[in-house]
Amino acid sequence: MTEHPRHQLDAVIHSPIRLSIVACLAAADKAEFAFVRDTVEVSDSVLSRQITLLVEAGYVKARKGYVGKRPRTWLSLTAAGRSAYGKHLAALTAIARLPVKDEADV
Amino acid sequence: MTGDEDVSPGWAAVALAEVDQSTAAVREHSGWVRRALIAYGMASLVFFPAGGLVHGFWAVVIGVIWGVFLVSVVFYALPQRVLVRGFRRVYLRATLWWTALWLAGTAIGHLLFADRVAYWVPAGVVVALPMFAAAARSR
Repeated sequence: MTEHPRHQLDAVIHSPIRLSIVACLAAADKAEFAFVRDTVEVSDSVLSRQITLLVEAGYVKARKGYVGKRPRTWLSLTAAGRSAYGKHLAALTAIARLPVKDEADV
Repeated sequence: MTGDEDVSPGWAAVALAEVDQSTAAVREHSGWVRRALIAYGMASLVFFPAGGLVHGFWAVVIGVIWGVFLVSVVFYALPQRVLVRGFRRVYLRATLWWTALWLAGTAIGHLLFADRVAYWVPAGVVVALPMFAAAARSR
């Protein structure tokens, strides 16, 4: 019997907010903190907390800088984050393709 | 995973839809990359032939305008909030080709086709091609 694809889900990326953050960063070389905040539709503090978790997991790199006199925080996925996201996405796709009758068994 | 979360196909489909939404937002806000590359290509169509056909005072004026254009592109790019995936590689490759073509085109033009419009204008199109190709790839 093959293992249910839910076992391949990444525990860190599993949270809906963190999945949206990682999906946003996966499509970009880098993105500004405010852009991710607006895209994911969360407050600064919520995003900051989630980014801290992702940084601690080694999935996201945060780099502070300036554009003119304005401070900016640039976020990007690390290689480990990109790999974990790829596996998580594959697991999600596999789950979405499961027959609906399986829902009762989950 | 604790095992008691909802991991049904329906839930996964919703999660994948949210992923698509985030990806679409990045693409939507990355249009500036294509616009900048097209502007760079268009400018090459003008400034490359001008560099070979215009002399004296007007050559200096064109050089200054070219410099102002390059600085404008940098100022346009600096405040942008997102850089689409793969842009660095595409831009680096396009810039290397553009530089090589510009230098080779200029050397050949000055040595063999000085002041010939029939050379400098088509050569300008060739020089601009890497930027247009990069713009097309950045869609």
